Amino acid sequence: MTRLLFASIACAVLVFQAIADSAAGASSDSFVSACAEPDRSLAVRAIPGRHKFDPGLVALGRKLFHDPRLSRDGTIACASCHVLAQGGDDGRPTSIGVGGASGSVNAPSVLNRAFDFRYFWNGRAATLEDQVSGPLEHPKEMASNWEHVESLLARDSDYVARFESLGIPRSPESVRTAIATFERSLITPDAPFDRYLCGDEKALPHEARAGWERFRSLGCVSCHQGVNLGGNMYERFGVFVDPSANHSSEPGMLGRFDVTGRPEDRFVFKVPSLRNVELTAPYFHDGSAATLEEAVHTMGLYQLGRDLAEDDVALLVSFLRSLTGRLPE
Amino acid sequence: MRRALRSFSSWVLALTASAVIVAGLAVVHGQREYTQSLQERDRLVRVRSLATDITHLTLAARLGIEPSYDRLTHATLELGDLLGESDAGWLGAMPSPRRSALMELAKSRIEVVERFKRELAVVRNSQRYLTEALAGARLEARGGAGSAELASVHADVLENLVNFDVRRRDLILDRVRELRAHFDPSGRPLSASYLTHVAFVLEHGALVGELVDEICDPALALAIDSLRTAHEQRREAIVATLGRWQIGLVLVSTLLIATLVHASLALRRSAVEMTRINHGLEETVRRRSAELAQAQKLKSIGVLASGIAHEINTPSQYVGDNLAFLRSAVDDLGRILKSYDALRLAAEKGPIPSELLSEIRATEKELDLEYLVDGMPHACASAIEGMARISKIVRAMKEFSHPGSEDKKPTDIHRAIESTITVAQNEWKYVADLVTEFDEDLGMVPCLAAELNQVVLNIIVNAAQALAEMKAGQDENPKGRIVVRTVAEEGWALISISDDGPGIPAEVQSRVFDPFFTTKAVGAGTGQGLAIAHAVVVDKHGGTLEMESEAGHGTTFRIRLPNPGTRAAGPVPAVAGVSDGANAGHDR
Repeated sequence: MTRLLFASIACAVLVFQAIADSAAGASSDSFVSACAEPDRSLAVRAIPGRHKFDPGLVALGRKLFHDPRLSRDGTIACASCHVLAQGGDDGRPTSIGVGGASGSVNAPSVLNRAFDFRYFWNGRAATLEDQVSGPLEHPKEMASNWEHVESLLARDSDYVARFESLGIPRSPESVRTAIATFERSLITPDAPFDRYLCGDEKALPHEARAGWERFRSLGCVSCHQGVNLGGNMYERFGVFVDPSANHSSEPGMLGRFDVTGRPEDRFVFKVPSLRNVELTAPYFHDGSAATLEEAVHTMGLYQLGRDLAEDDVALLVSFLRSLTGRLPE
Repeated sequence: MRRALRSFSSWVLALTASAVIVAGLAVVHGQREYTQSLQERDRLVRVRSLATDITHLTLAARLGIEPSYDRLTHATLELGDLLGESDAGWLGAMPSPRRSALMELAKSRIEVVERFKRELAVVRNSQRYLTEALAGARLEARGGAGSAELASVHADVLENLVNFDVRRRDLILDRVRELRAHFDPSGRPLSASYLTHVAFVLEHGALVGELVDEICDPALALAIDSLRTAHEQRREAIVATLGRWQIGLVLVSTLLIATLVHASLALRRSAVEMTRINHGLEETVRRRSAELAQAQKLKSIGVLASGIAHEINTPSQYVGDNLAFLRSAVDDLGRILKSYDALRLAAEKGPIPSELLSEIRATEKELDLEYLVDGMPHACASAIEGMARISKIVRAMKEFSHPGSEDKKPTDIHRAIESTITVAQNEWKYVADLVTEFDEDLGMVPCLAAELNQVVLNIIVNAAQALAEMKAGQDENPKGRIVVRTVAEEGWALISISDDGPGIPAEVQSRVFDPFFTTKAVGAGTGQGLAIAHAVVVDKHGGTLEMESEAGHGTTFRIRLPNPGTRAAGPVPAVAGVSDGANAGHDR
């Protein structure tokens, strides 16, 4: 009887102690600051050079990123428009999608996107994961859908094995996570300007240093700031000039306005990052500026209300060329 | 009553157990709620600290202390994650209007911050432009070219624009109007871009101030605090409820344990009670068995009594007859002796008168003297023999009914069996011939004589009754045969009693030693005879009692008593060795 009593008490204790505690898995992704002591008075930061991601997930993301079979007709991969070796974009004003369809906005670079605050020119995606569905389902881009992707994954034994070894389901969720993780790993450290920021005065040529001075004094740095020299705020395209004269006012080309519908959001775009900017011509949301000089001049007129002198433009461009980092392998 | 109580207590047990389960589940649920509530609190604390951070970072940006928006951006992103765009499911437990109001506030706060970021950037740029113009104007004012007064107005305007304060907006506008009415100090007209930047700062500088005011508006912080208060109250309610359930759980658990303890004690009590009752019953059974044994003995004596009376009656009759004969013979002899006495007196007096002699002859003839002389010894012998028979029966009875002793005493088994046979004579002598085959090697055997006699008697009477039953069913039948045999075995004394009666049916053989089992009519047998035999032989003597029977071929009972006096008590010899000679070889 005593034994029975003890057993029942023990059972009760076990049952009542069994309280499910769902601990959220902490992300293993992390960045390490580039400089030992970053200068807080500057609006810009050096890019962190070292970072850690799940290598299996990154490898899977890389494979998915380069796999054209994700598109409807098997011709367009993510990498078709985001060529990693060419600054993370395709060098076209607008990209060519499935069946030769031409997109409407300029393809942004995929490099260093880990430091951006939102995604797409109009910032409609809050995370890289959210962003993945955009090009994949866009009729002028990959024109695909998740059923198509899931069936592809189920047919490909390599994918089956990779997903199994990672212990994740072959779901759209996993695909988004893998691609986004791969994209986060695409960081280009060690640009001359970064080395300069970390104290290497000689890393920046004289012109570039003068350009950096102009960049600050003219006010470019007001918007192109933070780790990415951009990518952490929105700004109106054409503060002192009405852009509708030279740029399309079609729906889909109006930036935040296409998302919020508010008049003050017309032509408000995410400020693009200037990292690797010399590799990502043409420029602006519509790819209307073919060269850096043209883009810089336009920016002076549109954003600063100044007609920049050619000397200034040249200095600024030489600064911008110092923003090209070490491209990922 | 007791059954009602028992079912009541099992109901109590079931109810208490259910209550424990209910309370336990409630406690688990409460603890889960509490854990969740703690997580929600942590998030609310984080949200509150983000709201403060955003205010501080906005002011830092506005003042130019923190030129990079990165930290401000990350704070708004995290706030958006927690409140803005997600469904804020983790706030699910909070009242919906309050929750959606907070989410609305956070969302608009994030939008205002974004607006602030972009407006501040361009206002700052225009201020930069104007700062350069200010530097030129100061230079010109100091240089004295043109109107110094106008130059100072110009510098004043620019200073106010660079350090724009919306409260001085009207003043600045007046000054700008004043400036525009004139040419600039150097005589050049005011450039279009100069005026553009002035207008821009006037317009957007005011907007930046409004946006900062909006961001510093405590509404969001207050909403979070009020939600936190509500949340705190809710958690307190959860804790209170949890506490009540925990107390309840402790109480019902205690009650359950108490009920279990009570049940176990009751169980133990009833076990003790059962043991006590069992002891009582065993005592009763023992007493009843003893009484039954005594009753059985008395009954058998009763049954035997008429037979014994008959046995005594026959010899006593002819003892009486012979004694009567002897008495008349003695009378007659007395008469003759008187005649002889008269003759002796006459002879002493003289010659014997012939009439006396003839008278003696006549008397002798009358009394048949020869017959008397011949008959008297015979009558005496006969009487003595009758008396012997009577005394034998009496002695047998005396021996049979000897009260016996508590301890085993060396007993002449053969004499005891003889006595029993004699006592039971009337039971068997009309139905069977009884043969004894005694092993002369068997000496004195330690036993309880009286009880052993009873055993032998029971078995013999059973055999006789079985034979009588068989005989009653048939018209002409020779007497049956009962053989009583003793064998001195190694350490054992064997008494076997066989009959050639009908045997015992196989289906009841296993039950013949059970108490109260009888095949006789109700009232005719007590069903105790063989049970008592078994008890006496096995329990009291440590011996064995076997029964071997085959329908139609008779029954044999074998009583084995330990007989350590002769030889060491060995194992019980195989039954086969006695009953079946063919298997005897195996014993060697």
